[in-house]
Amino acid sequence: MKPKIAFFEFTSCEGCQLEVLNLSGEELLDLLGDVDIVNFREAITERADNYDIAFIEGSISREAEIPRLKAIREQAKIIVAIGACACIGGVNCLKNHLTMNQALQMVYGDSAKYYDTIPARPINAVIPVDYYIRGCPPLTSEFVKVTKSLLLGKKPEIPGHPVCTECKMAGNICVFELGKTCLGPVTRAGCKAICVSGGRHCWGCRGLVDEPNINSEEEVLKKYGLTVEQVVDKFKIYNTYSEVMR
Amino acid sequence: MENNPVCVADKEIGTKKTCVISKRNFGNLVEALIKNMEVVGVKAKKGKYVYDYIAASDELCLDYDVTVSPPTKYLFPSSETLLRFKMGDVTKTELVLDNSQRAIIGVHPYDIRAIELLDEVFITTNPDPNYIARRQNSLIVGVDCLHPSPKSFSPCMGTNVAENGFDLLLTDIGDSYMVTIGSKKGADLLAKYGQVKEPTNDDIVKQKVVRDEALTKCHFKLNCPKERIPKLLEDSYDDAYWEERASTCLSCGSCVMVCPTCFCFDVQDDVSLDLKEGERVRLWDGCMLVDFAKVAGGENFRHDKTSRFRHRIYRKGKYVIERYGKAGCVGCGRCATACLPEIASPIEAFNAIDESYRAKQAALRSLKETRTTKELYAPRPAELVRVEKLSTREKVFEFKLKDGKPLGQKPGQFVEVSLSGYGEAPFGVSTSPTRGDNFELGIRNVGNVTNALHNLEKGAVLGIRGPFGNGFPLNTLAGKDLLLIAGGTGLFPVRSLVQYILDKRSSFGRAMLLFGFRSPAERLFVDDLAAWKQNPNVEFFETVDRGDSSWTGNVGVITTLIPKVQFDPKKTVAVVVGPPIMYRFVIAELKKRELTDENIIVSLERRMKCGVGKCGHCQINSVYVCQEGPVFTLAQLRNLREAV
Ligand SMILES: Cc1cc2nc3c(=O)[nH]c(=O)nc-3n(C[C@H](O)[C@H](O)[C@H](O)COP(=O)(O)OP(=O)(O)OC[C@H]3O[C@@H](n4cnc5c(N)ncnc54)[C@H](O)[C@@H]3O)c2cc1C
Ligand code: SF4
Ligand code: SF4
Ligand code: SF4
Ligand code: SF4
Ligand code: SF4
Ligand code: FES
Repeated sequence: MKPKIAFFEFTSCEGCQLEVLNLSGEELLDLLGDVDIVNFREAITERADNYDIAFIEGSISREAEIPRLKAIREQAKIIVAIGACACIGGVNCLKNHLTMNQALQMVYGDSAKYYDTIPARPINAVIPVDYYIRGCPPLTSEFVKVTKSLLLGKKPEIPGHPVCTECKMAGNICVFELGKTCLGPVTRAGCKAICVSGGRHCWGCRGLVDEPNINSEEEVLKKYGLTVEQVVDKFKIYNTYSEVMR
Repeated sequence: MENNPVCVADKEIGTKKTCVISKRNFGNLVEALIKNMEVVGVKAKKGKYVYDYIAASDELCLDYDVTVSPPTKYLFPSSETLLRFKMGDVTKTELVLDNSQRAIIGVHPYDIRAIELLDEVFITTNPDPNYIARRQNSLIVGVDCLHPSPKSFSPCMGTNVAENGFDLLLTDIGDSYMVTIGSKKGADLLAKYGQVKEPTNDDIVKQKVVRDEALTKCHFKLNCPKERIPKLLEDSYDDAYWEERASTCLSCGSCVMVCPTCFCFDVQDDVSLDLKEGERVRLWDGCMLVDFAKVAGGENFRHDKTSRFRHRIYRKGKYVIERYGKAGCVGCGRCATACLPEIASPIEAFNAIDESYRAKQAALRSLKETRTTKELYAPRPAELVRVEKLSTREKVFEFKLKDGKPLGQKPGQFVEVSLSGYGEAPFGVSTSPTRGDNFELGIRNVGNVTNALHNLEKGAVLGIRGPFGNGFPLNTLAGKDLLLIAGGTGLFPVRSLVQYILDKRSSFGRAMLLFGFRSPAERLFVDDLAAWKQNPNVEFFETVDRGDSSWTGNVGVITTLIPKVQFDPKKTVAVVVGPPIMYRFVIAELKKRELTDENIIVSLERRMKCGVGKCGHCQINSVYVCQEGPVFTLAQLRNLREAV
């Protein structure tokens, strides 16, 4: 029996699902040979409520999303969160710094009264999550890796160390040496430090490592010239929902 | 064109010989290499230097300070396929070797020394086919480091020069390079592509001058001879330095990822999308990373950053040289540059530890001069104020110190009782400090000292040393539900704890007392047992191995009492004291009830003489039971191979 896979989307830009479809045609076909995709809004029209693995994208930011998410948990054997929004709350949580009315006002202007919104949260704030495919957007290669592991019935090997490790493996010159700053030392690896390799720096889109040494990272950022406010702003972008920001 | 004719003929180029090549001719040699093989070398990039592919000789930048990553990545890459396999069919496994010819140009001597270490690790024992394939097909062209990075300290480690491990080694002497020939391969290369000449006296002097000048550019000084580092580290395992220094460590792994002498790796399987075939890949890994020492089940042998930080420095200064006979740190300074909180430099660690060691020695010396502890071996006089028979072989002795002071014991501590002419013996104190200044010892008659004690009468004066040892961890026990399990004379020290708990009842949770004796006749402190049985503040259970006609209580070994009590393993701490055989069975029973090793506490009996951590009788591995014990958690004992 081929495992049945479903994709669901909550508050997000759908960039994550698009990334999955960026697999080369051949790769996707290979994948479809091993699984039955029963629910994938972007790719096929038919839908079913019978699935084993649910990939969930987006954060939870409306009251109505909570029962829907819980229903998916009831049905699926394995829940995989995809993308920064689902895994850590992501940029959607930036609005948590405003009052909910302010946020509504900003986004919808006068029609705000027709919408309800609650502080944005990652899906594991609502239901237990089995695995995470992090990043904004998440990488096709990691999606493939996790999916293959699940099909083989093994636990996906997701690094517990920070981005710096992979950045050094890639042979990059550290951006701190070039007068810039970076959240790589406290951000969970797995992306092969693509942003630094591509000439930028790490924003922390994959969320914090399990035991981030936030005090030390703050000291480092200050040593390299950031003010306390700038340090906080840096952490806010993706990690508003994490414990260190609360 | 060269002015001088080529004066070194093919055959004459032996190894360890030197010659001179003009920079232009060296460029030509590189161009020739580029036509024949992959050439990698040092290039400038964003104001730093990196090893990268070289497409033309003028891309090379050989007067650099240090590269971001070391050249060892060409011998031991950050990720490489070890083998390919077909799922479910091991016979279809094939080894993947990289046999491409590659020249690595511009390697500094400290990196050559690092390569020598890797050779030792990957070639000498359990030869590693992947490493060897790369190594055999690599041509190593070294270059002396004349502009060391400000963080480098290779002269302190003796690794600023290389005698072996290269094919050619260049020294920049102006318009030309002095070339040291390190191998037949190097000699052949020169013979084929190089236009070289004999060095003149001038050249030789110039080489010495530039090398000496480079030495003066090293800002560091190792404050002890480098040969002392391993011993220094051995003596400093528990130094406060490690924790303090590691407090800002980000566990980012940068220090190990840029290090030429690091060679740990992870192995992972990657399968194709159709799940039919796959590769086994090895990837750099390192001891500074959180998951490095985690084993199945989640236990992590180096779970805190202090132990990871210390482990890395120990590898760099002790473990590697002891195991492989080669320097574990070549002083390139890359880790110090890469470490954002600026804590990774081994030389700073070595010097700090050296300083702390000297300070400790100085403190010790001044102590020796000013104070000796006369009372260390001289016992305090104590009067025996009461003796009472407890059972066939046991008596209880009540003492009062002649100086009128309290003994000052903690439950679980012991004293040495000294009887002139017979000797000394250790005994756990049976009374709680909350029960007045006098103290009691329960003593079984088993031999010389104990027999002589049993012959004493009220009024006798003998010697007491102590109290010694750590005692039961009262802070850990506070607030917890307690399961006290004592067998036979194990009741002696446990009695003191029971008294303490009863006198400070509100500081502890439930108190479950489980006691066992061989037979009704061998029960000890029977009045206490009867009183505890009636006391509503404790839950009391007792058993004997063999009953008799008058016995109406439980019969069976002490483990049979454990299923009778209900407790929450998360809130409960067990204290177990008894004969050695009892521990194994009781512990097995407690593990079934899901108590963790941290929450099982035992008191060990070891042969003891001095009681003050000197004579060595009580030593288990590196632990002195009379000092760090006799009370241990099971978790602590698991690390002591000789303990149970
Ligand atoms: C921390 C600690 C607390 C102790 N508390 C008590 C206590 O409260 N009550 C009590 O009766 N005993 C206690 N003991 C055991 C006691 O120390 C020994 O029984 C005593 O040292 C025997 O001395 P001895 O001169 O009479 O025997 P010896 O004539 O020296 O020897 C007689 C026999 O006893 C054995 N023996 C010698 N020393 C020890 C020892 N340290 N442990 C076990 N066997 C030994 C010998 O191997 C020999 O078989 C304790 C031991 C330790 C280490
Ligand atoms: S993770 Fe990034 S790409 Fe995906 S939904 Fe959120 S914002 Fe969009
Ligand atoms: S650039 Fe960022 S991720 Fe890379 S080593 Fe520096 S701090 Fe770490
Ligand atoms: S480098 Fe940082 S921001 Fe970029 S993908 Fe990786 S985790 Fe995200
Ligand atoms: S420990 Fe640091 S200084 Fe020593 S060899 Fe490694 S990177 Fe270089
Ligand atoms: S010592 Fe420095 S470089 Fe090494 S893991 Fe710690 S913070 Fe990172
Ligand atoms: S050193 Fe033993 S596994 Fe790496």
